[in-house]
Amino acid sequence: MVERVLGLKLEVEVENMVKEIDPRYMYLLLFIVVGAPLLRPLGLPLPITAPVKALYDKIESLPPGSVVLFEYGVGAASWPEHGPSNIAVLKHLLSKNVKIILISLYTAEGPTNFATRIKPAIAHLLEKKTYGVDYVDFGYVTGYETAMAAIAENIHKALPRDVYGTPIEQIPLMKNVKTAKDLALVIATGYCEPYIRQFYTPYGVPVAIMTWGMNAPGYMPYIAAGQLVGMVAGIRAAAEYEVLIASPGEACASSDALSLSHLFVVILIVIGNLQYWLGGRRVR
Amino acid sequence: MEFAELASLISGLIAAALTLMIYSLLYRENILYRIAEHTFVGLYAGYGVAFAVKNILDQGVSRISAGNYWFIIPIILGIMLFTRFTVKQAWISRYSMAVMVGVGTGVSVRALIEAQIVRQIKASVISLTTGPYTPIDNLIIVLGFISSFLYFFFTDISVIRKPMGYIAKAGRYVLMFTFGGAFGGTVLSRMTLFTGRMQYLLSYPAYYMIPVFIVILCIMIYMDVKKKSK
Repeated sequence: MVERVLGLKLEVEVENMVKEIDPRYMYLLLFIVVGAPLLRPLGLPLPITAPVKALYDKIESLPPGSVVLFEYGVGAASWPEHGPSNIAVLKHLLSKNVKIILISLYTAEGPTNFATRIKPAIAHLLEKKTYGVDYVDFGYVTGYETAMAAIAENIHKALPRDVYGTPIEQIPLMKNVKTAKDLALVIATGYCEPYIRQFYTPYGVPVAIMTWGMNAPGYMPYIAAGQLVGMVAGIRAAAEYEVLIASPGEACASSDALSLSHLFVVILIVIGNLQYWLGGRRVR
Repeated sequence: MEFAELASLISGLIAAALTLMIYSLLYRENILYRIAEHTFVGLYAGYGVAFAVKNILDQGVSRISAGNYWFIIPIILGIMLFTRFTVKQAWISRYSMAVMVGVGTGVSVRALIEAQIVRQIKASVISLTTGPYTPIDNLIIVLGFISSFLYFFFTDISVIRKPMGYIAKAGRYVLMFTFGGAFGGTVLSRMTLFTGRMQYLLSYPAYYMIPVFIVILCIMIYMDVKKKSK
């Protein structure tokens, strides 16, 4: 009887306590939990996951002179998810002897983010390359999947000029690149399905994706089916890529903050479930 | 200080101020949040229109001037879309919409069956001991696929009702695990966006705005407390 009364009292106290917490305290705590490790990193271990390593290995195995289509459609809002991975993978590509076709298909914000944030981060590597010979930029091309289909079928027809207005016939890199069959790899930002449909399925061009962390579970079947050769999903995977290329950047710096924020969310979920469980049991 | 440095400093401070103004919603709805929100909407609309005009010039007008006159057709179809803003002529825009939907669907569907159905079924027919995963992973993939697939088998056959019930129940658990994974991924993504913004706020010159914001927040709290006590 005493235990029952005490148990009921505890349930009521826990329930009331949780209910009384102003959510704004949680926001404040979140600011502290995320901000503290950014100011003083903890150096938590970062194991490399298979999809990230697979993309790294694929780029490493590219024969010299291979042509890679790199889609840098990074939006301002999704910068933390896509920006660091774009920079890390581009750094890796620029360190190899491969030709890069830059393009933005996912968003019109791509060229602005490329010019203001990606380009400064890879400027030291771009200096060693020649525009038009080692890399070329076509800027934003509207149409998304329709544009992809057109590019895959006939690049010269779909992209008559580069971002600076130079006719494609006058760009040395593009001289022997006519269709998707001339590409060794497509690395895209955002969603993988359109690239698989337009590049991998009809032409057999390997496709890799830099996507949001939330897409990782949904894209694993494509990895298992061999339709994706690699995946960098979110900032955590971007941090792994930075470790692989030995060039720590934005992603590595935020990995501790991210880990702690996840722990914080897990604690909140446990508290929320505890409240629900105790409250529900009392009602029954 | 050079002009470029000054411009970078000012733009950095504006970006930080706007971020903090948006975050001020976490305390309560206020005028700073509304200013930032409306600025964003206006700016984004302007950016979108500018890019749309650039696209029409680059993809359409320049090609027409180069002699590809058939590019007039998509431009006419595009203009037809604007009839949606009228009541009597709105039906004209349906033709443009029909072309857009038709082309979009046609382009996607031509490889969809192979890419997203046939290949996925093929990938589920796997040997337990080969491939990139461990035998346990492969077993989970096969059993998870079969059970979650049969969860959506709605035909009621009395002979197999009982075993089907068990399989469907297992399928429901597999789906629940998947939803849990998807939810975890969504939280991860949102946290990443927040972490990215925090990283920016703690960098130069954005951190100059933090004390300013704290002062504003303290004033807001003080005013709220004063209002409440009255």
